[in-house]
Amino acid sequence: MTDEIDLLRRFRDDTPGPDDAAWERARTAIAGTRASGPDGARYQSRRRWRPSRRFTVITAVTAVAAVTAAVLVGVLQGPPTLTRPLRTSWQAARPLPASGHGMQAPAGTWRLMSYLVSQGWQENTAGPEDGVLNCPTASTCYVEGDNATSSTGPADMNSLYVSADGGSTWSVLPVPAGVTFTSALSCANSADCAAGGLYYGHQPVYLVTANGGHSWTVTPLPASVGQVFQLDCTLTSCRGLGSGVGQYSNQATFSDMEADARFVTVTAGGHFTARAFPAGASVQDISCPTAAECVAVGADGKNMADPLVLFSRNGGASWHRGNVHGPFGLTAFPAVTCANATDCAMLGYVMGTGTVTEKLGGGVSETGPAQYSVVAFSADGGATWTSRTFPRAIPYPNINDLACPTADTCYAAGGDLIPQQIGKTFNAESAVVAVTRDAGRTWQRITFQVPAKVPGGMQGDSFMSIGEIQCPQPDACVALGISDQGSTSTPVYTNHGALSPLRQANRTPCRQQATQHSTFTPVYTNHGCLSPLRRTSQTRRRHRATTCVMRMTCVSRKLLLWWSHERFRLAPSAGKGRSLMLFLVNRRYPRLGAVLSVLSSVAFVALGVAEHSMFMMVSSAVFLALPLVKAARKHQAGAPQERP
Amino acid sequence: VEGKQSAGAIEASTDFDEAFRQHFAPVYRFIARRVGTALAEDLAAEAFAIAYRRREAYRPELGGLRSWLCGIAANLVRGHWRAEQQLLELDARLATAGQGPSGTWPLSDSDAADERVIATSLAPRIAQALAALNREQREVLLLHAWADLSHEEIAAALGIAQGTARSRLSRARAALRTQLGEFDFDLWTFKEQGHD
Repeated sequence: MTDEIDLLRRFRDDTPGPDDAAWERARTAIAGTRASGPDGARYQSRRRWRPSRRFTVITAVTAVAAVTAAVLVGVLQGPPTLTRPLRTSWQAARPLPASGHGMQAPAGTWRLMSYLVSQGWQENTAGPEDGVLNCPTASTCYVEGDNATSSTGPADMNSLYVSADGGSTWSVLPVPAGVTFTSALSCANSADCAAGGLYYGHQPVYLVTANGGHSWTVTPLPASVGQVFQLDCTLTSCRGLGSGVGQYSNQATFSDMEADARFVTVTAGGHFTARAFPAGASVQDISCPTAAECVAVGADGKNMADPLVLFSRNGGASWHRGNVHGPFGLTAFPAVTCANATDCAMLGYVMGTGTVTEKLGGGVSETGPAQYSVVAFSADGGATWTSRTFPRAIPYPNINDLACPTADTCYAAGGDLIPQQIGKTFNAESAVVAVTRDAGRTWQRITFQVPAKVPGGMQGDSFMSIGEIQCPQPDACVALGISDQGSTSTPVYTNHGALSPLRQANRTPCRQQATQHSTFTPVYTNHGCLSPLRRTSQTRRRHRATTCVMRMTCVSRKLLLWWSHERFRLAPSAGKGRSLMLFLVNRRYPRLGAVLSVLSSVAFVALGVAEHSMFMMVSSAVFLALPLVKAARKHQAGAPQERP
Repeated sequence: VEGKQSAGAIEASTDFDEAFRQHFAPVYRFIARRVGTALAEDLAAEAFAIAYRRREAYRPELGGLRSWLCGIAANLVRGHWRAEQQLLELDARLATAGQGPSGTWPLSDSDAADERVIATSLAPRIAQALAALNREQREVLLLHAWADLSHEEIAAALGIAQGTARSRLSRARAALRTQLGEFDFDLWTFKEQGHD
């Protein structure tokens, strides 16, 4: 019986043997080898080393295993932790392209001054994420910005900008690697500043610079202080608010953190202390014009229903409750500022009994409860307060920020219910700055022109409100607009005139390196000069979640989105990696892509790993390579079939 | 000569000349059956040139001279696996050209047809089956079928363990049977061809 071997032996059995040419060819080859000498052993030593298949496979497997192990170790070992202060080296600021307007305008004239150029300057869906402004002097302003490139990603204040000419031009300052700001910058002068931060997203730290942000000292904070989210500094000490929790608390649980906020002091020697506020106090903002006098505002209890104001005359050792006269309700993000030890102002909110109609454009409007901002003033260091309302010229204002350079002079910035059209964009609100020269008895609405056409990279609603205002002097203010979702810019406004030679000489050295092309952010200002009022504005930034007039609806929607983003917050760059992976995977393997994305997200969230963008990128590369390999193999296998 | 060389290393040029005369033709034919005559001339000459240079490395206790030379030839052919694959697929294409309108095999059902003619007719199907094997399986199978090496000699020729050679050969035969499908080795025909 035959078998397959027999069959095979007959296949190509008619192949001829070697002809004369083949014999001759072989003889010639052997003769040539003989002529080169009897060098079998030498041949062995000279022969080209060729790796065996097994060696190649082992090497490849080892390499893949090593890479996989490195990635896993890098991902799973977690972020680094500081055990002692970290000092960074001096780095120059990177100037951004100038886009100044109106520097030659008369002092005191409010106008759109410039656009703060910032790459990836965007907000998240939780609300405007336009940066935190601080101007220690009339000429020097700092802005902490969110450098996240995803318009829907979580905010991480990991970029810092400086202007040495009152907001006209801006430069990017270095921020220590892995650091995100958790409080606004607080500066004793144009160069000495401090802020709270997080190191690699998990360790509360304290940041200090003595040269205007060109180098930093990053000090790990004790667990008793926790995450610092408010600071008010002089040259010798700082006071502020800390979470009292020695680990990272994301913004989703910020209200819980504030409910247990501690009064934090930092002395020149780097000693940190934390004291508790009276039981039931949920403090959200604090202003300390002197080392002894402080005023704190927040909610009475955790339900955020009733406003609470506390004052201290002994540096936070004991606190007393202040009383407010007149209509005054709790805002979502309370704010207080004191021009001196006795004169203070704080933001409040009133829910009226009537209704108000918001014109949304295109003949569409909505009607809802009338709500508006009020400002309460105190002339006795926070013990008694009188609530003041805004005039009808500022209809239903939604004030985001206060700046009081003197006892009687205060600037309020935000939006009011005056419809506005910029290009094709119809805004229900207009940006507004109001000023009082008599502690709130009368207010004057300051108007300024906005562009007739929406600048590139921005959306028209960037001009519907103002988020931050700083007035180091009564006639020198800088205000920062908002940047709504999808906008890559924020306006900067000012009211100061051209800088004097003296002011220009005070500019910090920050013009080195080449400019870069990027997107814009508008800045507004009004300059002129006095006591350096230093206050933090983390809470003011969050206050701007209430930019809609139909505020309750708006806040609910934004808070829901905010919670969803923050709750599942991963690394800042995770969004990019995840998007890329999903794009690649879903194009070729939609089911596998869905399963992988779900599994990886669940796994990394469960592990508490913050940084998994590397994993996502590696996954993306693999799934990018798969179709290529498949196509190559298909091409290779199909090539002979195509021959005639 | 085989016995003399099998007893010890190839010690003199005369021994190698004798080995060349005796084994060049089968080695050439083995190569030519795998990659075609066009390549076979060069590869066979190169195989013997290599054998001459490495004659001191020949170890008769591991296998005969023929298996050693076939091992060298197999290693050379391995570097031309694309040519071998293309040749097999070219032969396999003849199957499509030779099939009748109904897709049946055009093999004659005459009892007088000799095996050679039948085998030639079956060549496309065999080529197709060989082309479907992986390179390792094809290598041991053809060393066994065309170079008449036992699994011990295959192990020596390829530098692999005897157990590996045995199992690889076994799997290769099984794979070839699978590829050949319903082939009747008694009638030398495929059952699905409908010779009734």
